[in-house]
Amino acid sequence: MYKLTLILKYLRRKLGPMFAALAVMLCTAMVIIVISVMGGFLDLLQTSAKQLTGDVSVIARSLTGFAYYEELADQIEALPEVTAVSPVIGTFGMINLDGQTIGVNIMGIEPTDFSKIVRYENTLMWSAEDIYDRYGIEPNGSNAPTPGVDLHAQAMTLKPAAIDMPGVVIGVEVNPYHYRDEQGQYDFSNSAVQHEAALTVLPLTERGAPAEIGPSYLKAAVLNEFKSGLYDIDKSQVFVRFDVLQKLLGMDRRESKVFDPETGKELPGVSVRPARASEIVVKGAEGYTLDQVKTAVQETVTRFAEAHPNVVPPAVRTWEQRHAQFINAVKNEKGMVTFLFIIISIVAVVMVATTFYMTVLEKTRDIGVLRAVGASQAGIMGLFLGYGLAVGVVGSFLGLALAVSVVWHLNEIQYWLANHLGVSAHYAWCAGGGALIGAVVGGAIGYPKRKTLRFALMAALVLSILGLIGAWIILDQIDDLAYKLNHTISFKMWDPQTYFFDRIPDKVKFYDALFIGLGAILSSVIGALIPAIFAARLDPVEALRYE
Amino acid sequence: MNERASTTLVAPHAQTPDPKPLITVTDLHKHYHIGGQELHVLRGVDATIWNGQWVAVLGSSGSGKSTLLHLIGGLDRPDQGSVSFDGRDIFNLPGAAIDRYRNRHVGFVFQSYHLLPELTALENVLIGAMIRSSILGWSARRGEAKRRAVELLDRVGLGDRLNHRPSKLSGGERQRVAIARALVNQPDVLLADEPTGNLDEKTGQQIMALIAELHQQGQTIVMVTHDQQIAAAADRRLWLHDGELTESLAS
Ligand SMILES: Nc1ncnc2c1ncn2[C@@H]1O[C@H](COP(=O)(O)OP(=O)(O)OP(=O)(O)O)[C@@H](O)[C@H]1O
Ligand SMILES: [Mg+2]
Repeated sequence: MYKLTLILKYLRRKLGPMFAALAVMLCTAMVIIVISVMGGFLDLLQTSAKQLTGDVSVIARSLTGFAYYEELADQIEALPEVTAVSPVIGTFGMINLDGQTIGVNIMGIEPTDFSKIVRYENTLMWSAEDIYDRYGIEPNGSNAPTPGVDLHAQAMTLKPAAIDMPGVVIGVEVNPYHYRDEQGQYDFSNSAVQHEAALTVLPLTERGAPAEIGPSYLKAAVLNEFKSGLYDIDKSQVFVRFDVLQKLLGMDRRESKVFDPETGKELPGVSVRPARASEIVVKGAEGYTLDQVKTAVQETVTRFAEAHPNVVPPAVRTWEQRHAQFINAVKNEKGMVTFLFIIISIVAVVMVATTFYMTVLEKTRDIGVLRAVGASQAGIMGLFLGYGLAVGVVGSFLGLALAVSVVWHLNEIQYWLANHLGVSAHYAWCAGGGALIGAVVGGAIGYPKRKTLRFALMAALVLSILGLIGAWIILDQIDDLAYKLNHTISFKMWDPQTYFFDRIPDKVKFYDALFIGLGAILSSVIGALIPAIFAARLDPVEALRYE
Repeated sequence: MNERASTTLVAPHAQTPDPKPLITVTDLHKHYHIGGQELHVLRGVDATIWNGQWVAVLGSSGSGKSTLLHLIGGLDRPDQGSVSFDGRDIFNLPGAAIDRYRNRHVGFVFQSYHLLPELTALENVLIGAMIRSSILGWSARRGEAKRRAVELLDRVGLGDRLNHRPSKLSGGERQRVAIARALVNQPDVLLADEPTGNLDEKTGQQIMALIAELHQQGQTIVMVTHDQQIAAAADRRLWLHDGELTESLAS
């Protein structure tokens, strides 16, 4: 019982181990913050990557695609492991927007089905309401989207409501006029919505050679822009309707008359060239692992290949396989963070060990007293281990609280550092400078009287207030001083113009925090272990004599 | 000290009328090595302490009085010889039994009080009782232990200083707290090492009066001192000289 009593007393009365708790707190907070932000990024990357491809894809091995995809899609959709499928055509091409041409990946999709499997709908950037209220655009102004037109609905059909022209949705960075402001936001006034775009693609024969007809062109209206969160995708991808692209590439079903090769006479019947697609994206059903889904799809594809010996069987890939670089990056980063965590834990252990060693030395006589009153060696050891545990618990809870409040407000903190640091620093300098001058002058006047210190403090206080007032007057008088100050003295830990995500991830994962908190507590106990053993092994008589 | 001093403050069996040997010290040896030199502090000490007796141990500075007291209290270990309590050698007890011996059967009072600075007077007195029980046992015993601690502090004249910390108490008051602490588990023997050594004469006399009163109530006491005047009040005086203990005949 005495252990608990003493630990509680020491926690309230002893400063030294509180520094250890502070160290534990900072270590805990640091690791949680790093893990939350870094893990947040990697998660963002990973989810973005996953949501861009669907769980499993069946991919043609060639740009020419594979035939009988409808049949295969139906078979895959019938699998219990699968909830949805959607065929896709992908090709390379060019887009000309307002006179600028760039190379892009053109994806032919059926938006409604596609959106059930792959994040499409949520990546769309603009809706009419958004634009009106976020950018204060006049509904009838020159940049206004056609009044009454639902940009979102249009993008979901990829058909413009008013014009007889196919629609296209482009990645936000495909538009050469877009740039991000200091907050990482895009401005609608630079968007290509409602503009006309020209797409160029190169149809291929079934054998993969360029078709005789040469490149095909398509005029399309830009219906919306999307932002997936992966720069590479947003810079190079555009969406058109599946059937439009299929036709444009000559991958649709064609019937032709049959001629006798010798006589050149028309024969009865028609020759049919089946339609082709280049990919089927698949969404797995709930309750199945990715591997189970993949295996089921793979088996279906194998059966399909047996039924169609002429078709080169498409490959089956999971999203993890398609984004192996990201996944590996995530794994590497996790390793790094674990390493960091280990180092920091060792730091915490050493911190706790040194302060506890000092505490044991300081408390040597008390340890002797406790032994004299009947405490056993094990009891003394338990006392210090328990103390370590308590310090760890206090430190890790404080650290957790600190980390959570920092991470949750990271964007605000970053915003403040980037935008108000200059003026704040100016105020701090004026006040601090005033205080310093005041202290020196006040001290000099008061010296060598006994009240020197009070004199200096008073003068410092007065001059620092004067400094603040002065600073305020200066800022008030000179118009752009505040702006310039903030511009030159700012700390951008996060520049949304260089990073593609416009917010710093600000979520703390429960299990990460729990694990790190427990780690910190364990570190404290380990740190207390050697001092505790040392304390337990003190000779009580020596301890009592200790000065 | 005062009338309501209850006789339960000392161990009940210490009041039995016919004395029996409580502690037997046999052929106790202790040396220290300092810088290659060997210092033979105790060279075969024999003594018997009877129940209810007040024994004063006298000797010049450095003669080994404190060492002997620590050995009797089981705080130190001898190089040779034994200390028997209730017929059993305390140095041959299993496990942590020697800690239990110090906790329940012995009460130490030191020259420089040795109170725990973070604890209040009351908590300092309670510490021995806390060591005695586990966390779970404490909730059951707490009330009684606290009552007894308050009673003891009252008894030594500090009933109104329960929540004062040692730094707020005078030397004499600290020593009273230390005596109350030593008595909290109703020990069989009180081991006092120059309890008045750090106090002025008047305060020292007050402490001695308190000890004399405890003795009257039947408390067995072993007190180390080098002051013959103080020792005069004891039942027996033992002289420690050249590492050996001799009974003083002059009374
Ligand atoms: N740990 C130790 N190492 C070396 N010598 C020691 C140790 N402890 C005690 N001594 C020596 O043993 C001798 C006896 O010490 P002890 O404290 O028992 O004397 P004492 O009779 O209590 O003296 P005083 O009246 O001054 O308190 C002293 O000479 C002391 O220097
Ligand atoms: Mg001594």
